[in-house]
Amino acid sequence: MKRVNQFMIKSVSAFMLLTLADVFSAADVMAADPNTFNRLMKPPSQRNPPPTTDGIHDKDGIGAKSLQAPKESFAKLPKSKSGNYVDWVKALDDGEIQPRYDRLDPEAKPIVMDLNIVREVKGSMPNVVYPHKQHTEWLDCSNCHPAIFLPEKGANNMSMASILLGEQCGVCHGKVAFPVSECRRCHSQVKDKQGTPVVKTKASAKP
Amino acid sequence: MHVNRRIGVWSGVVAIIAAGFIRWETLSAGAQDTTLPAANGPPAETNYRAINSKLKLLGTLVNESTTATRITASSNEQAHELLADAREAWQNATAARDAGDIDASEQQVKQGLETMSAASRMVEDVGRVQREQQQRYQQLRKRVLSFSEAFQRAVADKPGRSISDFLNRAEVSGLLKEAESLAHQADYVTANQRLVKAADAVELALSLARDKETLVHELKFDSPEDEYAYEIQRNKGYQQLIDLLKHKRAESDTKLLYVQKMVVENERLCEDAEALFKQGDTQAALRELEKGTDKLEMALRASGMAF
Repeated sequence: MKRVNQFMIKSVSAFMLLTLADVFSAADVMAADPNTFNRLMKPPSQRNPPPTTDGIHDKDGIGAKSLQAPKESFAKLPKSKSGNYVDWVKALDDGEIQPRYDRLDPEAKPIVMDLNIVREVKGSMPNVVYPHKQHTEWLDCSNCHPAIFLPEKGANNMSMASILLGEQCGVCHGKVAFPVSECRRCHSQVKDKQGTPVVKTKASAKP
Repeated sequence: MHVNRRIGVWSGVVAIIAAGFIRWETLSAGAQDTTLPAANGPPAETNYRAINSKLKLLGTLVNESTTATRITASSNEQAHELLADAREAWQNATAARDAGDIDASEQQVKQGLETMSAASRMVEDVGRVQREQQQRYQQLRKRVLSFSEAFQRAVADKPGRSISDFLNRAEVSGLLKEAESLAHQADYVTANQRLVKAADAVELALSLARDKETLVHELKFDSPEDEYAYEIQRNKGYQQLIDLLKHKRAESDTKLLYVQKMVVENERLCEDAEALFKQGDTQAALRELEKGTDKLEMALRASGMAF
């Protein structure tokens, strides 16, 4: 028993070292290329840097200096576990944010579509549930259709590879929406061994 | 011998001073381009690179760009004056950079860019605006048509319901015809306004027709051969990710050895699968191929990719 415990401690230590090594090497790689693996696995101190040091804005630009720092502007918003650590859907539901639907018309309302799309996938991975509702509360239909996805069943061949390479869902997810490392937020319809969904689609639909 | 030694010492001193002088001369002359200035101490080299790049941009913009040509060719006197101001700002910025005053140079560059932007706004690029509106027209038409098709399919799924239950068809047809007519007259701005109205109407109708529905995209194959083709594509997708992983990772990463091992195993399994497929045993081929894809999945997991 003692031997087993020692083995476990060593294994856990080795795993932790590997994990740390991953984080550091990911940070190094990220500095060279933002579109890379685990680019969102930053330690808390490096999350949501101010615009002058985020590597996105021109640090000398007037705009970068006048923009509110994310840590300050996100402080009161509901938290999430990844991306920029804000649960934007909850923020929208709770009325914490009121994104303007039309740049010029503050009274314009979005066309919200309450339609779920379930995509069956191979293997043990849960099926994908795509909720239009949460997307169309903030985005216009034309943000995705027809340029990224044709609005037709079976017309879009999708793969995790292309998503991770920044196409399809990866146009937003991993960049301005939660990262694709949050597998279960999309792969949310659990199946049994025969591949039959065991949870009601509606209940499993998460943004 | 004694004299020679003294001459030698003095020669050495002169040589050192001369070398220092030459170096100072070289540096001063070099400050014209990208190196350190004589005054105000040496600012960081990166600042010099940044300001040189901005100066180059502004110089091109005020002297050689199509925007500058467009302003010069116009009859707008105020725009001409602004262009002259922007050119002056560029000259001042260059002079400030040469004098080693980076802050002043930055200020002038900023002023030059703002003035140039103001001049550009005064003389509209009619051709570009027209091209953009034309492109937008095509995009909007495609949007209306693709959503119209989606809407018609949605209504077809509902026995007893018709298009007119959700959409004022005559209104949308009218808007499309009007847009087409306006486009023929090259009035793309108004044509696009009509198309946006039509698109909104169709999208609203589609959202009503599909309200609170769930569409299931089933993973069904017409034949085992179709499934085999699908599985090959899935395997290739994972190979793409492995290639990306290898490219991004440092060569010293010990995990690469494990990844390589999995890649080799996948290759072997894929070859086995292909041989089985050619023998006509598609089900066994599928199993081998899926095993190969699993190997690649394991490699990706080990490298930090979540599944």
